[in-house]
Amino acid sequence: MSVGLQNLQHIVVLMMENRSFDHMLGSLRADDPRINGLTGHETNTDTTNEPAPVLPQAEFQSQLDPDPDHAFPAVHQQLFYGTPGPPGPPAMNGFVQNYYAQEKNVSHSRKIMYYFPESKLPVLTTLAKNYALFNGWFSSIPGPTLCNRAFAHYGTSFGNVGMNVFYYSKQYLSIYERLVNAGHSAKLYYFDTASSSLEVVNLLQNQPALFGTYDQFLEDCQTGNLPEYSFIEPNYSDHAETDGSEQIASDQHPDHDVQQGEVFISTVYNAIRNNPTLWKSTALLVVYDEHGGIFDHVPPPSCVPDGFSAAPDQTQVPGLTFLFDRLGVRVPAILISPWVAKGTVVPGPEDPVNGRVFEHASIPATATSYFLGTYAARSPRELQAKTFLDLLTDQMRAEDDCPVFGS
Amino acid sequence: MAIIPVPKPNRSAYNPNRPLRSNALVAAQVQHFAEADKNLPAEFQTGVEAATIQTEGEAATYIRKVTEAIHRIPKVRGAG
Repeated sequence: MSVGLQNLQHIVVLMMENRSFDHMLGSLRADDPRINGLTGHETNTDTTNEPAPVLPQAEFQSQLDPDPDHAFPAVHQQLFYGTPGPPGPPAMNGFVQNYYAQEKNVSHSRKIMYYFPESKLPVLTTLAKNYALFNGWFSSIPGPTLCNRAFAHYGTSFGNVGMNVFYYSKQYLSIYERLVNAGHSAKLYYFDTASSSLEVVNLLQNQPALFGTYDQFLEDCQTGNLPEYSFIEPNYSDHAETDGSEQIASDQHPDHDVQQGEVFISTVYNAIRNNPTLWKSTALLVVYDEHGGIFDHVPPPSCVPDGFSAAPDQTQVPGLTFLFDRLGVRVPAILISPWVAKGTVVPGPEDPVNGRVFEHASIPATATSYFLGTYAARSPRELQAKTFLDLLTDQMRAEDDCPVFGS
Repeated sequence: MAIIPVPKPNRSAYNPNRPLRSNALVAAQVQHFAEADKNLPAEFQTGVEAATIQTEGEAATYIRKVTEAIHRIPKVRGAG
């Protein structure tokens, strides 16, 4: 066990919304060829049969409006357009075709290929370059938010590929219940009561004591009362507080402002970073739930089946029964700790020898493995999921080697 | 190490009048909060008809009411 792991007392997960790896971090390949980002030559075919290239022209807001479709059948087209479909490999050539269907505007549909230059995302790119960036972290399902987030909470979506997620009291406990039942501490922090949680029909209405607000998270960081395991939900909506102040959504879900998400990520990081005791005993994972319909060039790999199936009436793809045996589109994921070597790049599927594939079931798999050890009552996907705490080393980095963000 | 500046968005980014139909996530969230609302004891239910909610700001107001009601219920549900 590394010294970093011996010091670890807290795991914090911040899950953002709906942006692909290439869209947010694809630019980093230009300076570091180990990062499996964009070469600049990737294209999709548009509806006039012309190549639509990736371009560093992503904007913070108003570009991906309407919200790109990322329901299961839409993602199916994004992955398999121009191919015979599964079980063959995805060609990743249907993103523009699929976005065209919403506005019937060729020029607009090509914007689904745009990515951010590094200079526009100082927080996410700084973290990616200073800590451990995963080349191969994939969403758990080629589908929308809630079934993907379910994998982060439960290690499975219980056979669901959509947004109707009613699975409280099913065969696998959430990571929070597992930990609390074993005498450990765990909490979900939603931004505020007006944004609240995406877990309302499951954990929130049944186990409200598991929840706190983001203000409480900040206080818990400051006072040294952070639970052993924390999951943070960003602000999902533009809304007024009861005192009239304006809150801009920070989840980065299109068409919400990406810069506000950068601000939010920096405050989460700073809250941990600025408490020396917490900083040396915490691992923070920043990860996105799914790609939101936005282009990524890496074909999602297959995975161990989850023991569930979704029939064609659920997948909404004629003739397709989904066995939860392949992953969704790749997303940004960064592990942050002073015990992580600067500039770590965790190889993914591009490295057939040393590459490792992660997905959201890796989150409860890691927390369960670390805090509880052997724990059998988990989904097949979670039992097979890779864990990531081996990235903590024996060497704690110096204070001035770890970035700090302005407030 | 120097402190890295974090630019803030323009205030024009704030749009609580954004139509709910343009954000499938918040729209789904409202549906789920309507389910939770129905499950509340009668005296805690909001009486709001979720189908009338048209904007993000309205959704947030409704979600706040239900969330606060959930937390006000006496702890009769398991560990809650």
